[in-house]
Order: sequence, then structure tokens, then C-alpha cells
Amino acid sequence: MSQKEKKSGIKRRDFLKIIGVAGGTAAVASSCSDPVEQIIPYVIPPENVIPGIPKFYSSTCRECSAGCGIIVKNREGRAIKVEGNPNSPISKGKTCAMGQASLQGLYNPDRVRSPFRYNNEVKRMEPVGWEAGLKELADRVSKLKSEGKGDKIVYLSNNISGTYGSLVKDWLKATGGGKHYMYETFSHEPIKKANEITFGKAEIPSYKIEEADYLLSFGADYLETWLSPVNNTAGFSKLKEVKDGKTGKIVHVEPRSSMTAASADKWVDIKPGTEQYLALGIANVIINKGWGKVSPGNVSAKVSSFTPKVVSELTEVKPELIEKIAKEFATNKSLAIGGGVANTASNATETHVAVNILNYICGNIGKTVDFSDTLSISNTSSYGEIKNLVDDMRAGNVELLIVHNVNPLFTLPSELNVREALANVGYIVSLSSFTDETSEHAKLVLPESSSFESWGDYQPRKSIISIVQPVMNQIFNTKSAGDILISSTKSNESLKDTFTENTYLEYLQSAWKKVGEYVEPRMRFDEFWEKALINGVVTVDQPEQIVTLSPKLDSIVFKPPVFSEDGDYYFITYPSYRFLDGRGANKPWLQELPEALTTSVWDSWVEVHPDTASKLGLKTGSFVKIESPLGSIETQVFVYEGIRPDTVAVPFGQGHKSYGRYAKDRGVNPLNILPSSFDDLSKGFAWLSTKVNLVKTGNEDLLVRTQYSLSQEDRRIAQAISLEKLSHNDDHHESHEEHPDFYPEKKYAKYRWAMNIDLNKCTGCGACVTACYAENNIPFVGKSEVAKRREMGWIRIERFFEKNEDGSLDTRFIPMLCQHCGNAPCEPVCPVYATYHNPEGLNGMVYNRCVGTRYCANNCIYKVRRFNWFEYKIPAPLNWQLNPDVTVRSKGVMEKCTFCVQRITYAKDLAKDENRLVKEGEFKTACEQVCPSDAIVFGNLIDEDSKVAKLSHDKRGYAVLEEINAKPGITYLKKVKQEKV
Amino acid sequence: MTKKLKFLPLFLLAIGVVLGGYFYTDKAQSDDKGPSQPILFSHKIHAGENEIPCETCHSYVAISPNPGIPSVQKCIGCHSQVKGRDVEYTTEGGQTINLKNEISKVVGYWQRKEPIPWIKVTTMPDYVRFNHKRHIKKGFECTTCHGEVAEMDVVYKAKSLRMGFCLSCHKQNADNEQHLDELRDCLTCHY
Repeated sequence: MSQKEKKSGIKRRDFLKIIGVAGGTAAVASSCSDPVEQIIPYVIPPENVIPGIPKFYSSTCRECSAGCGIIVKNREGRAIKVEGNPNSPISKGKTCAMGQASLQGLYNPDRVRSPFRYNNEVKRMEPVGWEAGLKELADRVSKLKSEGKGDKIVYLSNNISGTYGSLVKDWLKATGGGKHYMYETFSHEPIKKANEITFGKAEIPSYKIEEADYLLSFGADYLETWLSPVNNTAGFSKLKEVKDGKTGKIVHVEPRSSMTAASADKWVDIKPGTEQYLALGIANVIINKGWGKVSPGNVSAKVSSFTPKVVSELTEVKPELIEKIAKEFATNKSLAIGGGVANTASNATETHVAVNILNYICGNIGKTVDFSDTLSISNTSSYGEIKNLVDDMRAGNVELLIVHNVNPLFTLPSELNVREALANVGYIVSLSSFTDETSEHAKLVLPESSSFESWGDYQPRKSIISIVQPVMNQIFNTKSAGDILISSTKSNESLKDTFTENTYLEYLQSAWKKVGEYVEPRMRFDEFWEKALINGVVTVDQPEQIVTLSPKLDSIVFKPPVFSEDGDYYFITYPSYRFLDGRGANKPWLQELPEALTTSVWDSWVEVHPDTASKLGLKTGSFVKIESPLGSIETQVFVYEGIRPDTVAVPFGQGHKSYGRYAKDRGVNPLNILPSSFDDLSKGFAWLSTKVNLVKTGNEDLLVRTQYSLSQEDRRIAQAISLEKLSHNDDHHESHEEHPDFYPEKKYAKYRWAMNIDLNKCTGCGACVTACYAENNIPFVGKSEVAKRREMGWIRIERFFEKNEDGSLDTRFIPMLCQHCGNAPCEPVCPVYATYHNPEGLNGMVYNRCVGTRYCANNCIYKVRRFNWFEYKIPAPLNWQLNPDVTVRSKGVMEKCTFCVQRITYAKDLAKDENRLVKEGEFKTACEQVCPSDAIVFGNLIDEDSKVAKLSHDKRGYAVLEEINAKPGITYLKKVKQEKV
Repeated sequence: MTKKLKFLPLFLLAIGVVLGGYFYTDKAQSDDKGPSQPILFSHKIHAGENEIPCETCHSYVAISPNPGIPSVQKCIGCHSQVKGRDVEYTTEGGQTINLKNEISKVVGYWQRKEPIPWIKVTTMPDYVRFNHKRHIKKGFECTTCHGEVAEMDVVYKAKSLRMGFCLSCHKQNADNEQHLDELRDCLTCHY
């Protein structure tokens, strides 16, 4: 024993013994007591609710104008998951990422929880009771009415169709003839106007992508936000089906390679604003060669001067390509669509007339373009009308403005100065659920309930009426907008006889009585109503419409686009498939969903071509000032090959100055530098109207993304095969070599759960990512944590930029998730057996065993394991959405995709009740269920008749990193390329 | 090293045991093993003397993972008639109550339309998933895991319900090797 140890008076060994015993004792003592938990019974149990058994309600998603039918899963009185309603012809059982995240609107901690009124004495908003709030509204309305100013009431809402629209009409009629404006930021005015000019129908038809095998899209971001993205994606999926060595073809024309362009077979990087010439050039070739299916008549004269050579000079598209597209378009069952960037220049209507001409001469009208079933978004006001309204407001001609579900201060250009206009409005009432830029100016806030808490209906197309029903009780002290309007009239003597109904439900039902009499004349109303509530959707047959050319077509002159000529670069801003017009920005799942092409989260960016970037000395992450004559915005650069060197692009939707903690002060709003200009013919806003300058600021920071590498460095992760090779009828499999194995082969008795992902159909939309967050209680971590590579998503979309043979961009998406390997590299390195291969082929992850060494994540070849660095807090009531069937993981624990084991267990439980095995298609994993393009198939590999078993032998099938021989449970199907690979 | 220090481990152990015991008994004033509930509800009287089947109150036990506890409405369904005798009743653990008084508490909750804040007896960690339906359908008695509830005045956790307890039963009930694999698979209960 050394002198030193003697001095301390205790031997090291003894010290350890004591600590050991003491520690052990403490542990024993503390583990003896279970935490005291209460168990609270119902006082009166709700009808038909069984704790532990979910309930499903049909309703309609109201996140955008598409109107997807949804089914909401309710557990113990709380809505916990949204899924598409298979009965809905719009959603076909699917949703997009925004639809998945809609629950975060319902449970948003920043919702307005009760009515507020401005107190003139203390100069601020104060809580007010519903009775007083409604009386305030009614008294003001009745005063205006008695003064003869009832027509100075304006009801400004988003696109409303169905019964609520007629309620607003009735209400405004009773209150003195005010006006109802339906305002959508992206309302496709040029399509309407062009259809009026070409066919005499100022409406938006249904475009049937599913019935085409050749799709020519002029800028329409049909996989992202255009008209009805989930429905369009279903059509896309059908078109992309590979059968007998054949598949459809998609050509996408846009100055930048959007997510939609990335999924096309050919991206044509056209000069901004010149799309009309290309369409006319294609029409010219078709007519000259006599390929058209309909006599062109007067159209010939319109297109005769647009020869491929002329068009090529105007558009910078090669003449050979124009001729090739013309031939393919004319000889296939085709469809041309227009939208997005192509439909937003000063000549947008002309562009769409040109698109109409293409469809007309190839006989697509009445086939892939259906005017009998038009879209309700056709009824919205044009930008020009909204601008006039703003001018009216500024001039003091609006005494009472009711704002409902729109945020014009954010979605209109700042040049319009909506702020000043709002200041000149007599009194502003907001029905908004959130304090956004516009409702901050309201003097009376009567918060409406979420669509998950209200009755209603929505008619996305003439043929479809979709039910909106409450899927749970009110969370806050709110009322549905319908009830606000109806009960406001009851609180004033002069208005109280406006409605015979006392609630909006009664009003809705009286409207639906008429629907019932028309659709099911022989059914009693209560039966019809119940059937409608269960189905969620009622379809109404539409008479066929014969469409002919309108004489107005003669008057059209194809003008060149007008740009403010001060800058060097065309400035594009495009609707985001995550936030649309900014309304999604307050939902953390959408903020944390990596954008498909950049994989950027929680921020804005500007896309700049590599040549432009090197010319200006910019790189990804550099801060740059984008200057227009109206001002400037500053954001970070993303150097992107998928954009023309003369163009820069900023996504729309960020840059909120209000709208709750997740949206506020994040990114930039491009509308701050855009002029209030519009397309002359349609009065649609000209999003593409400005040339800007880029000014390097010298600052630089990490542009926070989830994937920093752009290329797969020849690792053959996302593979492709050419159509030619695929159609060669040989059974040669280039992969699937037999690898010698050290371990005995694994045997499975009843189930081997496996998955199949078709890369030819994956669009990178991220619906699966958000669905996984929703189903599996995955926490969102915020920008700074993502910057540290600590995002928690169990499934991610990897995107790689490859090159086609001709040097053009080939964007590949591949969803990456736990592969549930047969020889999983993560398993043998776990020191505590927390991860293992289960008898059904799942790679099990036992949270309560995990001690957090993270060896498994290090050894995982697919890098799909996620570590809980913190106890992630989800602020109430967002946490009400948590799935009670999935453990909420705590700090220090590893997690990853479980193949939705809770759904497997649920299905097995039901199967055991009937003493059978789980049947094919009986349940779906969350990602498979949501996938709008049906790219994901899940099932039991043992069952030879299952889809997944059949697809695993597909000629296109391969395993990622097959050479490592991890024997993954996921088979990917190679993307099919029209060119050589 | 001094002699005193040699006893330190024992000393600490003693403190540990005392503290542990203190927390474990949940500050109960009686010898009843269960926690003190807002109403001294005697399972012995209900399930034992009156032979009310478990499923009468825990009505979802055979159709849901959760057995369910009766709503206040269900309690009052009987106790609007059964007001209780005005007699003293002494529990096994030596607590004395007046039956009429105790039942009047239920009526009080019902009148105030308040739920009864029962203390959970059979607790399970969040990472364990137990499906009552599966076990009942397989023919197991409630008593296998919950003990002789019909003989308890104040219900207590009769079995450890730790993983060893679960697994020993799962092993015994396996029909064959493959069934055993399924029954002792971690993902059966942990996900």
C-alpha cells in the first residue's frame, strides 16, 4: 500500500465495494415503487367507443382546393391519423404530405383558442365571450344595413363550394347585399380564360392523366400543387405502369427542373415565358405532317408561321426535339397540360390557348380533357378582381370585411400595399384559426373550428360532393364558420329571421335533402344521410359536353412575354408542395420534411445554376441579395444544375412575419420583390414578370439539408434500366448473384414481411415521410438539430443527380428506410441484444433493452437508424396526436423503421380471432398506405400469391448494396429510362 | 482502515431498505396491501360475496386490448338502487368504513358529474403492450395475472408482472418449437 493511499484511510478496492453496495441498495429501493398513476373512467361513456379500438370517420381534406376524401382514425376521442378514403374518386385512398400534416393544424399550439375583441380604451385585443362577440358582429352588420351600407360588407374567403357557399350568399343577402370573394393564391385564371377563348367555356376541365400514355406538360407541377396533385399522381402512376416492356412517356417543359420535371422522361429547359411558341411549333408540325386527328380549320392559320426553326430561336429548344415531340404527341393517346411557371407570365392565357390547340388537333378534347366534369376552383375570383377589392378597401369603400381562411397580406405582392388598404377598412372581422399577418389587423376575432371539428361539405368537381364531418369534439372554445354566421343573425332583432335553421348542421341537412332527392330519389333522407356519412362521398352523374372551337379564337394574338428589364436573371417563384401558398408553414412536420430536390428544411433558398454561381463567386450556402426594382430579399444559394443559367428560383410559402411559432421569421417571401402585374387577358397574377440581380453579400452559412451529396458516386444505389434492355425478352438478371454465406439460411414459418418499392413511380413527394412521422410518433427536432444530422425520420427520400447519355440531368429518387435485412449488420454489434431478427423477418428494435451505444447505427449500411439525443418535447396539444399503439421513445434510445409492427400486430390479432393467417392486403404500412403513386407494396413473402412475392422476382428488381449480402427485405424496382442507361 | 468503515455498506443498506419500504407502502395507514383509493371499493364484496363476473364491469376485456374500467354511470346503474346498509365494515387490512357512507361517495361523483380518480393498481411500463383480448380468448382466467381479486377488499398487484412472469407462462403454453419462437419474440410485447 502506498503512502498516499494510507493517508486517505480507505483502500481503493473497499471504496468500490461500498459504492457498489450503496448504489445497488438505492437502485433496489427506488425500483420497488411503481409510479402512482391514476386511471380515470368516463362519467357517461360515449356511444360506441371502446377504449383500445379505433374508430374511423369519413371526411374531406381541406388543406387545398383538391378536396381529397379522407378517413380519420380516432382513438379514445382523439383524431390520430389521416388516411385517404378509397371511395373518393379524387384521393383514391391516398393523401399528400400536406394532408398527412393537417392534424398538426387541428392540434396546433398556436391556434386561437377563444374569441377576441379590440378594446378601444386599453388599445389592445381582449378575450370576449361568444355571445358578446357574435352580438358585436350582428350589431355592426345591422347598423350598416339600416344605414343602407349593407353592400359595403365583404366576405373574403378561400375557395368554398357546396353548401357553405350558399350560406354565405344567404347571409350577405339578408345583411344588405354585400359581396363574396373567393380568393385562392393559385387560381389558374389563364386556364379558364384560355378555355373561354378556345372553346367558349370559362371553366377548368378534368384532365385525365390516367387515360393518357403520353403526357406533355407545359410547366404544370401536377405532382406538387397543380389542381389536384394526389389525383394527378394516381394518373401518373397508371401512365408509368410497365407492362410487356412498354410504358407511357412524359415530357415536361419548364425553365427549372421541378420535382415534377424530375419524374418526367424528358425535361425541356425552355426559355422562361416562351412556352406558347413551343406548343404552337409542335402544333405546326402536327398539322403540316397531317398527323392531327381533327380537322384543324382556322387553327392552321394561327400556327403556320411557327415553324420549328422559328420556334427554336424563340424558345432555345432544338428543332429536332420539337419534331420528335410532335410525332410522339400525335401518335400516342396524349394529353397536354399547362400550369405553374408556364401559366404565369404576362402572356399566360395565350400560352394556354396554344396548349388547347394541341389538345384540340389531336382529338384529346372529350377524351383526356373532360369538360363535362369541371373543377370548382373555376369559381374563384381572379387576381384582377382581388386587386380591385384591395383598391376599394384603400378608398374606404369597404365598411366591414370578414376574412375567412385567407391571408391576403401574405399572399398578395407588397407593392399592392394590402396593409394600407386594411387600415382603411371600417371594421375587420377574422374567422381565422390562426393569428396570421392579415388577422392581426382584425378588430374582432371569432375563431372557427378546424374542419376536423365541423360539419360541412365540399364539391371539388361537379360530379363529386364530399362530406366534411366532425371526427372529434372541439378542442378549444371555437365554433364552425357556418354556426358563426347563423348564430350571429340570431343575436340581433333585425336579422333574427334570416335563417329558419338554428345550427349549420340543420342548414346542411336541408341542402342535402335536395341532393338526396336527386341522387337517390327512392331512399329516405336519414338513410341517405347515413350512407353519405359512411361513404364520405356522393357522386352525381354529369351529362356529356360537346366542345367545339369558339370564334373568339380568331382574335388571339400570341404576344411575347413582358419582363421588367432591369435585371440579369429571370426570377421564378413557385408554389411549394409542402406549404402551398404559405398555409402549411405552421406545421412542424412540413417544415422538417426535406424538400425533394434540395433536401432543405425549415428555410428558404434560391436555386442558381453552377455556371451562374461560379460567375458570381457563389456556392451552396452563400447568402445572396435578390434585387428587383421593388426591393430585395436575402437568402442562401443552392447551386442546382436543374435550372437555366439565366434563371433563378425561390420557393413560395416561407417568410411569415406572424402565423405562429413554427412559421414566424423563417425564410423569405418572394412577393416582397414582385410587382403587382398581371396577364392582361385573364387578370391572373404574373408570377413570372421580373428580372432580378444577384448581389453577393459575402456571408456564408450551412444551408441546412438532410443530404449533402448530390451524386451516388457510382455506388448504384438508385438504379435505372433502359426500356430497350427491359423489352429484350431474356431472363438474364444482371444482379442477384448468389453470394456464399457463412450463416445457415433463415427459415420463416408463416410470415416473411417484405417490401417492394418501384423507383419508376416514386415522385419524391415525401408523403410517406410525413405519414411515418404521424403513425410512429417521430419527433420533429428543428433546424439546428437537423444541421447536426440529428433528424429523426425513419424513412427518407434520397435524391441523386445523374447524367443521361446526352448530358441532360437525370434525377433519381429512392426512399430509404430500414431494410429489415436477413443478415443485418446492426444485429451482431449490439452488446445487449436490443436489436435482432425476429421469426417473421422483422429487424426488431427493443427500446427498453437499448443502452444507447449507437454501434448499430455505425454498422448499418443503409444509415437508417436514428438516435434520441434528447427527450423531445412536443408542446400540447400537438401531443394529442400521438399514436397510443406506439411507444414514445426516450433519451438515449435508438430507433428506426419497424415496418409498422403495430399494424402487423393489429392485423394478426384480428386474424387470430378467426383462426387464420393475415390475408394479403388486409393492412398496409403507413408509407404504403399513403403513397399517391402506389410505388410501395408491402406484404408477406411466404405467400406466393402476394403482390410483394411476385414483384420480388420482377426483372427490374434489385437490392441496394447487394454486394454486402445483408439480404435486405426490400426489393427496389429500377427506374425505367426511355434512353440508354 | 477503521472498523467503522467496514459497517458502512451494511448501514447504507439498512437506510436503503427503510426508505424503500417507506415508498413502497405508499403511506398506507392500514395493512391493506393496495393503495388507498378515493372510494374504498371492495372487490371482495362485489366479485366475491355478490359473485358479479369481472366482465360485468370490465366489459371490453374480451374484445379489446384494454379491459376498460366502469364509467360512473355504470356504478350508479346499480347504486341508484343499492344504497348500502348503514353498517360498519372492516377490511382485511383493518380499515373500518360505513358501507352507506362509502356508496354515497359514488352518488356524489355522479351528481357532480365528476370521474372517480382511481389509483391504477396493475401498472405496466409504457414500452409493454399487453392485449387482454388475446389472453381471454385463449381461455386464461383473470386470476392468473391479477390474483384472487374476489378475496381482496383493496385490490393490490398480486403477481410481479415482470418479464420473467410473462415469459414463464408464454414458454409453458407453446404448442411447438415454432410457436415458442413466436411467444418469446421481443416484438410480441415491445414495440
